[in-house]
Formats: sequence, C-alpha cells, structure tokens
Amino acid sequence: MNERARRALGLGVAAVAAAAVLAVAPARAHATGVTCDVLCIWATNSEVGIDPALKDIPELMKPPFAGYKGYKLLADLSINLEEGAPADVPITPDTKLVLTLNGMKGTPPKIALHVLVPPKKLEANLLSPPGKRSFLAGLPHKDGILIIGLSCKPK
Amino acid sequence: MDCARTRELLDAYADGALDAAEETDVRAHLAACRLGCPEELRAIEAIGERMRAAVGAKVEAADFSRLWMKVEGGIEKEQAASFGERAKAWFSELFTYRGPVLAAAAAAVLAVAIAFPLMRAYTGKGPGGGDGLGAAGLVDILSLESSGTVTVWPVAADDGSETTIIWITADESVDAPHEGTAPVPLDMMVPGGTDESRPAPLTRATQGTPG
Repeated sequence: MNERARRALGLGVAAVAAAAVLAVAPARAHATGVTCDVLCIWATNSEVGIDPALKDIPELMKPPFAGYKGYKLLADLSINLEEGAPADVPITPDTKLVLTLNGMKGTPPKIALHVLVPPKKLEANLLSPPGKRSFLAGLPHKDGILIIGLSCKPK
Repeated sequence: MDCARTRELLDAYADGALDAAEETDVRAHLAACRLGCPEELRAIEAIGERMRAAVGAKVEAADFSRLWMKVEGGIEKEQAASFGERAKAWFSELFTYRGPVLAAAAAAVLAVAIAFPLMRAYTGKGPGGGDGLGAAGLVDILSLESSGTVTVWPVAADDGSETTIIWITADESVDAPHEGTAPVPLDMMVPGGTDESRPAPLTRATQGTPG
C-alpha cells in the first residue's frame, strides 16, 4: 500500500470514528439526571399479613428481613433527581428522606441519602449501579421498622 | 517383587499412578503376599477415603461465591487485555498488508465497539432493555454517618446477584429489634438465631451519639 492510499485510509477511519462519537452524543446529552424508585415498607410483627404488592421483592423473605410477620407497602415512588438538587421524598409523615444526585460522570450515579426519623438519623453516600436495589432498614415506625428500598438509573 | 519394594509403590498404586508394568507386578505381589502388604494397601485406601470425605464435606460447606467473583473478575480483565493486544496486532496488520476495503470494515467494527459501551454508560440500557453499566455490581457505600450503630449486609438474591442492606441497629432509646430477625452486635453474629444460611455483615460502624 503506497503513502497516498494509507493517508486516504487514515482519513476514512477518522471519519468513521467521528460518526460513531456523534451518534452517541445525543444519548450523552440527555443523561443529565437519574430516576430513583423508592419503596417504603413497614415491617411488623402485627398481624397485617404480607402486602401483595411486595410479592416481587424476594429479599424480604430472607435474612435479615425474614422473620417479621407482616410487611406493608407504605409508598412506591418514582423520583427524578437532577445533579446537585436535593429532593424531598414523602414516605411517611414522620420520616424525612432527602435524596441528592452528586454526580454520574464515568461512574454509577452517586446518590446522597439523608434520613431522619427522630431520634434516628442516617446520612450515606452511595454509588448505585443502574437498577441495583439497596435497602435501608431499622428506622422505627409504629411497632415495627421501616425498610426503604432504593434503586436508581439514568433517565 | 518383594514386600519392601511393593510397599514403596503402594501409595502410587492406590492413586493409580503406576505404569502398566509396575502395576501388574504390584498386583501380582498383593495376590500372593501373606506378610501384610494387602493390609497395608487397605489402610492406605481407608485413609484416602476418609480424607476425601472430610475435604468433600468442607468444600460443600464452604461459600466460594466471593472467591469465584474475584476469579471471574480476573478472567475478564485478562480477556480484555489479551483482546486489546490481539485487536491491535490484527488492525496494524490490516493497515500494513491488506487493502483499504478490509481496513475500513475493521474501522467500522472498532467504531461500533467503542460506541456501544459509551451508549450503555450514558443511557443505562443494553440490548433488550437490560440494566447497563454496573448492573452486576453491588451498591458501593462511599460514606456512612448515623446517630446509632449501622450494620451493612450483602444478601444473595436468587439470580446470583447481591443486594446491599444498611441497617441502623436499635439503641436503648427506641425499639428493640424483633427477636430472630433484626441485627444484633457483630460479636453476637448476625440475625436469625443459629441459621447458618443467614448473611454475614460486611461492615459495621458506630458513629455519633444516639438522638
């Protein structure tokens, strides 16, 4: 292959690569925030049974959750988070839950979580891979506890 | 073959590690020996059997999932590296010896290979609408601060993935966890009484003061 042909080939490769980057650009431009699914579950030893809405959450039937007699879904919310903007999540009247997206460039979304159920509070910073659910538990609620499920994915 | 030589070879014989000629000689000696060689072989076989049973039980009881995750991670890294090297060599060869059509086709494949992971990273979706970047990983806790004691568990799901559970352990001022359910201090193991299938806590930290 002579020098001229190589140069032409190089230009061709550069053009294809540029086209690929441009094709990705629109998706990148839209990924400015995340949508978080927040579940608020009351676990209790009262005879409330198991809420049918929770049948798709097998984690509740395993330790350390397994053993409570009843589970009731108190809230199932979809929260849009924009970077740097705290969002109040209304789960119960006595529980303050604030979520903040603190970045998502090159990593899974970084979510700050602030929970306050007097006298308990918790602040956590999580790297939450898209669609991966984590649970926060142990906050007091009536005669049982609250279990907060959180999973986030880019919009 | 005499008894001394036979006994030297008995371990290898029991393991099936002798060549055909030695195995024939040992077998012939064992058939005729009245001086304890057959008993020696039975003793060796019995010890081997007990060891296999003990090791087998330990292996069955052990949880290799974390080890396997690490091994799998290492394999993936190795594969990624070797693929990169192979692609580089192949692409370089194309530029040097092949015609422009082949090189352009290779460039197009490379462009798609670059573009697809980027799309997954930014949209969180792969083919079929599945989870994207990091979907197989655990939620990573960067920092944790609480009014009480916090315990973190990884819990295995049926699909082999793991879920992270952050549990604020009860303190004196509020509800006590339900017996056999909620976390107890680390030195008392983990929830669920004596159930060995329960998850073990990942980390545990007490920060701040209650209330």
